[in-house]
Amino acid sequence: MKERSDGKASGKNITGFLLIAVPSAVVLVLLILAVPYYAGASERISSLYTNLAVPADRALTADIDGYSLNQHRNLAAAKLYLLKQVQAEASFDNQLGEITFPPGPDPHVDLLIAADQKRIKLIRLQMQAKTLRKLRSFNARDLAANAAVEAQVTIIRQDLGLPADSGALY
Amino acid sequence: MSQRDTVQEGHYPYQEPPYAESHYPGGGSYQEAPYREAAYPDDDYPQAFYPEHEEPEAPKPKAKKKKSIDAWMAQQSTNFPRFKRRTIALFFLRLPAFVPWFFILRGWLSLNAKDVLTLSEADVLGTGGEATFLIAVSITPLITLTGARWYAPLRRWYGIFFALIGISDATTAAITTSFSGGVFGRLAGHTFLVTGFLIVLIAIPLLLTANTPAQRKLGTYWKKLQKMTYVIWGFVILHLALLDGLKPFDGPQGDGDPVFHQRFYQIVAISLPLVLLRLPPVKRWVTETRAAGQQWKVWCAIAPMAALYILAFAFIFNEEIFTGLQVMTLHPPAN
Repeated sequence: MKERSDGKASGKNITGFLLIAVPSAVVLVLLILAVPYYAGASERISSLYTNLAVPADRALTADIDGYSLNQHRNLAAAKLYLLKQVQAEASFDNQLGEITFPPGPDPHVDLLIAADQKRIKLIRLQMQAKTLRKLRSFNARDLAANAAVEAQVTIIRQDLGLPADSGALY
Repeated sequence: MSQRDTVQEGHYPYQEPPYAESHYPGGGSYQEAPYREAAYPDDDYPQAFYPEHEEPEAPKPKAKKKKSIDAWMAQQSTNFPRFKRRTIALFFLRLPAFVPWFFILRGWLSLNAKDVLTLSEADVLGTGGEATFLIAVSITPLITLTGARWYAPLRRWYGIFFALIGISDATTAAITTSFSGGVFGRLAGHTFLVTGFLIVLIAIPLLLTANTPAQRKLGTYWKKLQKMTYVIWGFVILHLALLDGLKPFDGPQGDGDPVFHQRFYQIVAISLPLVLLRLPPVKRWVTETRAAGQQWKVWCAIAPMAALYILAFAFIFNEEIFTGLQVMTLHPPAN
């Protein structure tokens, strides 16, 4: 192709060059900013998990304490605390399902949700108890269900680089 | 007519006149000129001798080099001499178009076992359709950038597969997804579904006319019809924007890479260089710079956008492979 020598043509060429160069410069800046952003992905996922786990743990601790206090003397109050536990766990599971985890912890998150669902099912069964003795008879199975949840939580926290949370469920 | 005009041009420059008698110093023989040599002492032989004849220019090595990619691809392959290199390369470059169907096949054959189609068909066929469309619209800017045309048939190939994958996506979605409202609800029950359905509807006439007989029959109208691709392009961007809810960072949840995994951002990153390279001033600058032998300037100018384009495509391919494997192994995601 012959080179254009007239001013108009060269002006158009500059337009063509600028139309490429200016967006490219902007993109270059964005790409440079993207490097630290991408490097912080695992921290963001950890923070998303912590933001869910901390309030859920707080709520569950209060509910479990409430249940422990009432399991020997007030059936209705004990059942109310069990219902609150179910609500807190279901809410945690729903929000956890919305997070896209990296391949490492992802299968354990699915297992955690499944273990939680089993626990919720068990608590619902416990809530059908007519007496305090019957209600308390579920305690051992509750502890076993908790252990299944805690096993998955330990792996997830390890994969996300979070410290093992002693005492709390999530 | 002068005596000079009577000289037969057919004998110049390699064939010596057969009617020579006298001895030629160079070893051959030639016809002694019917005029006196001394009359034209400064003759610039042979140009002056044949005023209308133009000395053939020596081939420019640079120009030859520029044509070499297409020319090289048009040659027979050394390993498979029955085929041209271009044919073999195009064969392999066409294969990825089948990948979305390859991934979804087990879901179809198992008749939606474990709700695998309900949960993942849009991720596999939708993402596959998006990828094939973006490959199809990438061919023209790539030709502008490189000047090579041997891969131009991929434009039609991926365009056809985009339409076919889109139709299979819509059909599967109409049967298996969990949106309420029956078939119509599953196809157009939400705004993002409406845009997706429109994409498929517009793609059908383009698919039917994506062949040479239709191109010949429609003449100039064919190109106008094919420009509907740009309407599809707009709807694809809108479809993906609505799919992610037009939220800039995917809300408070999502994942650790809400920007990179946002489909809307991915398609914007890919579309930006493709649209810019279609603008006439840019095309002119690229072709002129390339013709001037300064291709490096073009690559330097486009490099950041090319990097963004590749990065966005990497996330699309990752999504396709990740969800595709989930469908193939009948392990759909929980939600």
